[in-house]
Amino acid sequence: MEKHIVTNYDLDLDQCKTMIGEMSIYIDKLLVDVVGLVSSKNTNLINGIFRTEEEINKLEKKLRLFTLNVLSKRQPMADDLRAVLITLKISGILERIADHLVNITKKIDHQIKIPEYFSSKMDLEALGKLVSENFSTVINLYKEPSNEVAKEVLRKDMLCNELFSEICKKNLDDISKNNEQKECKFFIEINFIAKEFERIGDLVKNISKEVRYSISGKVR
Amino acid sequence: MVSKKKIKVLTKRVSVFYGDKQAIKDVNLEIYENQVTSLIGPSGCGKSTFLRCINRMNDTIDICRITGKVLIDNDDIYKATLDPVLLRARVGMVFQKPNPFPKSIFDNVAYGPQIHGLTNSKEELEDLVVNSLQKAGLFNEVKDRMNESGTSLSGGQQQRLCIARAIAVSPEIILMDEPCSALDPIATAVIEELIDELMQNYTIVIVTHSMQQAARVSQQTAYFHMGNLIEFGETSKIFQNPKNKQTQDYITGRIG
Repeated sequence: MEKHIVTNYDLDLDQCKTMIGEMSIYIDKLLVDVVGLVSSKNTNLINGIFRTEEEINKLEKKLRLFTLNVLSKRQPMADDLRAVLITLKISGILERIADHLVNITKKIDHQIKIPEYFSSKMDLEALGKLVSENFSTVINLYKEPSNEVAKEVLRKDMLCNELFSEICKKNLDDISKNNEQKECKFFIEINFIAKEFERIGDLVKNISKEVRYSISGKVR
Repeated sequence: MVSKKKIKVLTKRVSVFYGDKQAIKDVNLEIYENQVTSLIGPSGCGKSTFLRCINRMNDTIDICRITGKVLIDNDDIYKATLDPVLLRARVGMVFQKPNPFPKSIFDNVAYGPQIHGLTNSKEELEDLVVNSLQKAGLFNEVKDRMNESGTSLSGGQQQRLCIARAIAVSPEIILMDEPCSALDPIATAVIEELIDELMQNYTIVIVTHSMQQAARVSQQTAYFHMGNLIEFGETSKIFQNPKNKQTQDYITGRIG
C-alpha cells in the first residue's frame, strides 16, 4: 500500500495495529495462564490473571479513544475506514475474550475434588490449547491478511466446536454411569468452562470475519 | 426492491479540447433524475470542464472545442437549432464564489424570470421571487430587506441568493461548481441541507473537493483523473469500497 500524503496519518493507522498487537500479547498470556489453571489448578496464577485482565481493559479504553480521535481527525475513507472500524471492533472482541477467561478463573472451585472417573480432562485441556492456538493464528491473520490463514481459523474453530460437544457428551456419560449426585457440581463447572472456551473460539472466528471484511469490503 | 432510475443527462464519448490540449477524454456518464451526482478528482482533472459541458458554458471560451454527445432527456444539447440561452434556463448554475448582481435582493431573483418573460404581472413576479427565496431557504432571513443590495448579505446568504436566482427560471438541472468552498461550516451545512431538499424537484450535479461533502450530499459519484472518468457508481460504494485503485488512492489521500 502506498503511503499517505500526510505522514502522521500512516503513523495513526500503524498505531491502531500496534495497540491491537499489545492487547493480543496480554490475551496470549491470559490464555496460557487460564489453560494452565484449568489443567493444574495452580492457584498462584489467579492474581496474575486478574491483573492482566485489568491491563487489557485499560488498553481497550485507550484504543477506543485513539480510534475515535483518528475517525474525527482523519475522516478515513475506503480501506482506511475499514481498518479503523475493525480495530475498534476487534478491541471490543479482545476485551470480551478477556472477560470469558476471567469467568473461567472465577468458576473454578479449588475445593472440589476431581472424581477419578472424570474422562474429559484431556479434552478440556486440548480445547483450551486449541482456542489459544487459534487465537495466535487469527492475530497473525490480522497482521498479514491471507485467505489461507482465514480458512485455517475456520477449520480450527470447527474442531473447537467438536471438542466442546465431545466434552459435554463425556460429562453426561460420566454422570449417568456413576450416579454420584455429589459430583454434579464438578461436572456443571466443567461444562461451564468448556462453554466459555467454545465462546472464546467463536469470538476468535469473529476476528477473522472482521479481517476478511477489511480486505474485501463486503459484509457477509 | 430496486427502483429504476431515469437518466436525465447522458454523455457519450465527450471530449473537450482547449486548443491542442485535451481536457476531457471520451467520457460516458449517466446522470439520474432527482438525484445528486458528485464529480470529484484532483485539481485540473477536468471535473469543472465536464460540468460546464452540461449547459454549454464552454461555448463562451473561444479556444474550446467539444466532441461527442451530451443528451438531456434524450435530446442533443449541442445541435445547431438549440438556443444556448434557453438551455441555460433549463440548466442553472451556481459557482464557487457567490456572484450576486449589484442589485437589490428582489431584483437578483426577479432578473431571470423577467428576461425570459416567465411572468405576466407584477404580483406573479413577486410570488415567484418569494417562492424561489423560500425554496432556497433564504426568505425568512431577507423578507424585511428585499430592497437591500444582494452584495450586503453574508457569504452563505449570497450563495443561497444565487441558488434562488437559479431556481427562479424553473430549471430542471442545477449545476454547482464547488458551491461551499468559500463558506464557513455552518453556511456549508445550510447549503447541504438545501441540496437535500432541492433534490426532490431538480437533478443536481455538484463539483466538490470535499470527500465528506460528496459522501453526505450525493447518491452517485464520479471520479475524474487527468481528463478521464476513472470510476462512477453509488456514492456509498465509491467511498467505502471503490473498485479502482486510482479512486482508492485519491479518496484515502494517497495521491494529490
